Amino acid sequence: MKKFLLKRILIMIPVFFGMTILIFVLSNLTPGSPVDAMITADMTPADIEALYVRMGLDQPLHIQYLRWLGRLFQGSLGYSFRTGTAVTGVIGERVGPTLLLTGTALALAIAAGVLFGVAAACKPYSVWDYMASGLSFIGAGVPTFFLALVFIYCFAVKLQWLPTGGMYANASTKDWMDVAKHLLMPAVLLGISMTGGYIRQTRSSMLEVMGEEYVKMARAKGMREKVVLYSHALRNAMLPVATQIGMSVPFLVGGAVVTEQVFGWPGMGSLMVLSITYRDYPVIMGVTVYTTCAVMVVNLLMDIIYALLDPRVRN
Amino acid sequence: MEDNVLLQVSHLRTQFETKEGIIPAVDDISFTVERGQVLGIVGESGCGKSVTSMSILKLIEKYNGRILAGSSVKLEGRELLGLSEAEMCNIRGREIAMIFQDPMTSLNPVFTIERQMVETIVRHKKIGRKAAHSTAVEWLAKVGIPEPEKRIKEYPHQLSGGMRQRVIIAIALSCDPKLLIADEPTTALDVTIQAQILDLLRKLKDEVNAAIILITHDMGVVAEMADHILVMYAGRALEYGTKQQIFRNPRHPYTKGLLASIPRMDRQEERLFSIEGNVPNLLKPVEGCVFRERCGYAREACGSCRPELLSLPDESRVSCLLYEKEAKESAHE
Repeated sequence: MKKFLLKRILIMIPVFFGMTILIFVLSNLTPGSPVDAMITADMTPADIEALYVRMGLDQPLHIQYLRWLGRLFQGSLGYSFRTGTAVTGVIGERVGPTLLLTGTALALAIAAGVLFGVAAACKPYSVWDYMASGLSFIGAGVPTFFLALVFIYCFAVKLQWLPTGGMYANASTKDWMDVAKHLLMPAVLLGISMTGGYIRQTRSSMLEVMGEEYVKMARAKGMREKVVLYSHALRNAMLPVATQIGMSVPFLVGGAVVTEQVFGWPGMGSLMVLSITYRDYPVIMGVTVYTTCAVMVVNLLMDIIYALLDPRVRN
Repeated sequence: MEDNVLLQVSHLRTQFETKEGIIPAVDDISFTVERGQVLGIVGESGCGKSVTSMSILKLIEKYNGRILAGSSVKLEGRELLGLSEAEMCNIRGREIAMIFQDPMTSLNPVFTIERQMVETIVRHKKIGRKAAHSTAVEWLAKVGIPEPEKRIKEYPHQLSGGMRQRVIIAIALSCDPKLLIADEPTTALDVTIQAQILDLLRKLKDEVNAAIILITHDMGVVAEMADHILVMYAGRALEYGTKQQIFRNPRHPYTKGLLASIPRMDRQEERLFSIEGNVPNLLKPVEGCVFRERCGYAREACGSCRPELLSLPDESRVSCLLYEKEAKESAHE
């Protein structure tokens, strides 16, 4: 297990450098320059030239990259072209809300996925099974923005149970109950959009595992049905589900773009959209670097979880 | 004599309902197993051997099968088919244990050997985990696993096929069952390992004084192990007798064919003997004898009347019209 972990962590180093090069080159390949977004009507060509020099954009690409990388290791991601504040600060205030939203959504999606999936597999063609299928089709088939608008119309506009968007009613109070109220709708929606896959995966892998010989053997040993299902079968059925969850987590740490946008949630997703509109390269690159690192850490965690679940991958 | 009967299966009928129709996988099978004896059930693939064993454990419903009314499975005189699921859970593994065909897939890959052994022992013997652990280690030593203290911490994928089958045997015997059902316990193993496993089963059977139902399609294995033999074909019992009766004096044409198909080292033969034809499709109801289409002795009567399991003078039984006269004579005596 120790060897497995060490190998796994060492691999992350070249991946990290590879990613920084990719991020840097790609963001420089996008047409237009940040200066374009700053040009005002009363600027002379000389002013524009001066702006290029001030931002270091006149240097060759590899020098720009090394400067950027050097600053990165000093913990600085540069300054936002749009607001002039430090990128780390901009990202810092967005990480919390994003993780709160996506974490809650993921927890809801996993809980619903496993519960419905197991119920559907244990009693195929029952009410549970049809409910599970219905939920997964809604989750997979209906676009999030549409479902979000339906939710806002029903629960915020008509019933007035929940706020239409944002994170606080009054940002200065930071009341947790208030945050929870604002969180409920986007988290449930984001959860629904993910849970469909988890339900289908849990159902099919449960059904597959229940036909396995070791399940038959567990029954023949006199294990009670509950133990057979929830200990022997579920543990094995969770392996492919864990893989699927692992694959969807990286999308979440970078923020749920559509959901955050619709609900005005102050997370990474909406920051990314905003920065792209303004060609705010330092922020775009900062968000991407952050997301890359987060994905690498999450993947490491998923591999550890996977090794804990399945002894066969440990060596 | 009656006291010696451990398991009595009578008129067992198990069906599977499929989209294509009803499959009578086990059709009116009766046999008894005496204490400490080995009953070999032989027959080719799909003849209902495994369904019989799953029916005895009442596990067949989990796999969409149904045991028909009128069937009876009695363990020491106690009817099992009427028991609730909770009561059956106490019988499975405790009174009747089972060994499966494929050791590679019969152990749960995500649990250690220890967990899989201890859960069984704790479940049936009502002892603590510590005591169960030492029982488990003892049993691993008994089935010939070197360094049992170390091995018990390992996962199934770290053991070879033969070792895994030993572990499965240890799990099955660890609760001192009265009856062990071994469903093709050596089919998936190398020939050398097969012999070791059979030796082990024979040795341990005497130690825990368990009876064995040995299900196999390997005539060599039954010849070595069994006291009595039941020959099954297409869900029915065709012949039942002691090992000597079956091997020295096979009555049913199918049994004769089976024995003739065993390759012999002492003869140079151009072609190995095989029984012509195929097993009947069980989806279509078979009238008369199930074997008649492949039988060299088939007569017109075989197509209309289903032969009963006739008792012969030497206490063996056969389901064939050829022996009607002989059976009647023995009934008159």
